[in-house]
Amino acid sequence: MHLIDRRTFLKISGLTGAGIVAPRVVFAADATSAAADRPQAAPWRSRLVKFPEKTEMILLTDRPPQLETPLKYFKQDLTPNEAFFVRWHLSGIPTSVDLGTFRLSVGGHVEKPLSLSVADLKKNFEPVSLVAVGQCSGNSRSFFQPRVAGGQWANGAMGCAKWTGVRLKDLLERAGVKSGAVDVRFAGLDEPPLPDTAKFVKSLDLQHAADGEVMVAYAMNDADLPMLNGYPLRLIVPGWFATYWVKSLNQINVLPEKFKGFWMDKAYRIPKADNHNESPQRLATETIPINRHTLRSIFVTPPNVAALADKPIEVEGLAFDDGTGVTKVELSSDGGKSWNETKFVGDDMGKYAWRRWKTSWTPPAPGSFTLMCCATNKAGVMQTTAPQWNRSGYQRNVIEQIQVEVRA
Amino acid sequence: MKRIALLVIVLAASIAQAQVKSIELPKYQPYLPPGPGRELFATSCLSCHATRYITMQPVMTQGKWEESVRKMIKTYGAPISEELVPEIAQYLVAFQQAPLDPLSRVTANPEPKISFDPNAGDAGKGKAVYARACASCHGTEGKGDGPAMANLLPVATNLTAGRFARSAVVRAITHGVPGTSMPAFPSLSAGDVQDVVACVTQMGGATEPTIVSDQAKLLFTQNCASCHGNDGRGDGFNASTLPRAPTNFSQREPATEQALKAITDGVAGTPMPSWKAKLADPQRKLLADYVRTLYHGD
Repeated sequence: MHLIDRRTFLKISGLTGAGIVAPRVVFAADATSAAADRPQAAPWRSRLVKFPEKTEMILLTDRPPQLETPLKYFKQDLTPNEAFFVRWHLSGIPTSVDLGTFRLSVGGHVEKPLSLSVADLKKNFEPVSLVAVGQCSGNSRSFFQPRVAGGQWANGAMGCAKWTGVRLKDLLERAGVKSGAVDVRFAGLDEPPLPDTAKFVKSLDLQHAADGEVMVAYAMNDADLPMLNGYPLRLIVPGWFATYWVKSLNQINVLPEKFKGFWMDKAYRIPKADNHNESPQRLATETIPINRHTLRSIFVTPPNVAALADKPIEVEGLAFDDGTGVTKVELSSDGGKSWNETKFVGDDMGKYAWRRWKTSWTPPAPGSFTLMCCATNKAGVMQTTAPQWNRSGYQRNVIEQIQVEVRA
Repeated sequence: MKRIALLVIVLAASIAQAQVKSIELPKYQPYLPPGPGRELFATSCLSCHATRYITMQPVMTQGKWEESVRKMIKTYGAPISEELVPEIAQYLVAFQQAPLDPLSRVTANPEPKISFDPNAGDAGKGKAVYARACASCHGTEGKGDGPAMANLLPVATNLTAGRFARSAVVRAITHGVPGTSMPAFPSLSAGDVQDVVACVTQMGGATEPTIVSDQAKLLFTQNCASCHGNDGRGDGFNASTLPRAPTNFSQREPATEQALKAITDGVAGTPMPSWKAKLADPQRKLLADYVRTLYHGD
């Protein structure tokens, strides 16, 4: 294993254009598990903490809370509510909600503004359910090289849950969107601690908001949402990064113009060109808001399995994309020269859910082996090892590599 | 009939109660290892986030940290003057070389079992209790300058500036003040507590009266209420998330110059930021006067 040098990085990042299905192994080294810097083993990650309604999780920060899901919870189809990752932006988070007074407002460029209690939503709209992966834009940020400041997540800033609620489309129809509407803006109960900090507000274009899939959820895995995951209502935008999944949602505003706001115009942006890559020396001049999930697969086991030569070990992981649909996940144990298809396990819970995969691998001899997993989707897109970097550490999805030490 | 009506009321009350969901967040003491710029960092950064934001970062250079602090100012509106950026960054570099964050939980102590009459104490007897239990941090005269305070943030409260409600002092002594070095004193008898409260509340006194101005009230609502609450009772929206509770001005009347200093320089080691870069001198003076009008006593 060796680190990518800067020149190679520049050369390659200029070559992989958007939409091109690149050969999956550009060269056999990626920095994910470089021994020199193993972020997932950083000492600060060793302390597990228990926050209200949550199980023991990896503490990134306590105020505002950012809690990472331990990998062991990814051995099941649905991530339990108590283990689902937590990420708030502003320290003024809701710690108490009174359903007697809580109202979701739907207003702005509409005929009939609505003010709805959670009971109204449950009673007066058709309930819908959907299983979807919620993934932080910065999931796996700590694996980028060079390192990027920000929440130092390993792979646990995501989870897969069953969401139940009402279609945003139905709410918008009930309110009667006026002609000329362009965007829909979403805000929740969280507040900035200081007056000059921008409130967390996100937007979707109207067409997307009214696609019938975007949902206002009041239940997560058939229970109330934990407070820290957005009780009592959360916007669910299937296939899109969770930055759009506004927590404790209480304001929906239809706009007759493009929404302008810090959390869309300045934060959560990715390079527009070069397959959304850039380099520290040559930052992209044009950026766009982050949007759909990129295709990815990860290892759930091992990471630290003790392997013996000629003794098969189980290798397990999961894969998902933006709803296009993962068709296969392959495993390589020889640096990407040869690949073997793994088996899907668990249930197929719909196109926005993840698929778990499993395979057995028999180490042929003692020594150090690099395992790689690679997903392919229905559109024929395949993950690659092409170096990936952006200044914010978003949407990491290079082929993951893990090191297995095999003893005699 | 009456009984049914009562039942309905009880039911309605329990339904209303069932509709409120609340959580109590665990809180951690800000970790402030020694280093140049420690106090400046401790008055500039803790309003919005915990020190754990530093703990988890990859090792960064002075230049990278300066970039980070500037981002806080420019994109997140942190009230920090540009010329302070290098010193804060210097501390952040030192922070990353310090031992790992011990992650100490801020715990609230349980309600004391004995009850206290806050008005029953003997200040004369209280002096001896004070000398034994309080003076090492709060100083022999209560100015918050005792020898044990070296390097502790936040520093001990100056008990001579302004005044405190007796019930607030009782609470501090029996519960401690979470998020500070002030412990609870379970070893003090009820009589000792009453006496020392009498002694402490005599150390300060009422400040000059001021007039409430609409402008001051507006400034308070815009800048302070998110933590201190609209009426200054320390119960703003953010209050429940903070390691040290915001000052409750209904029970604490600071001296003018003390309030002005807190607003101008922040209170190191607490989420109270310095407002020098955001509010002009006259505005800060207005606020210092305004918070003194919120005192109600017990």
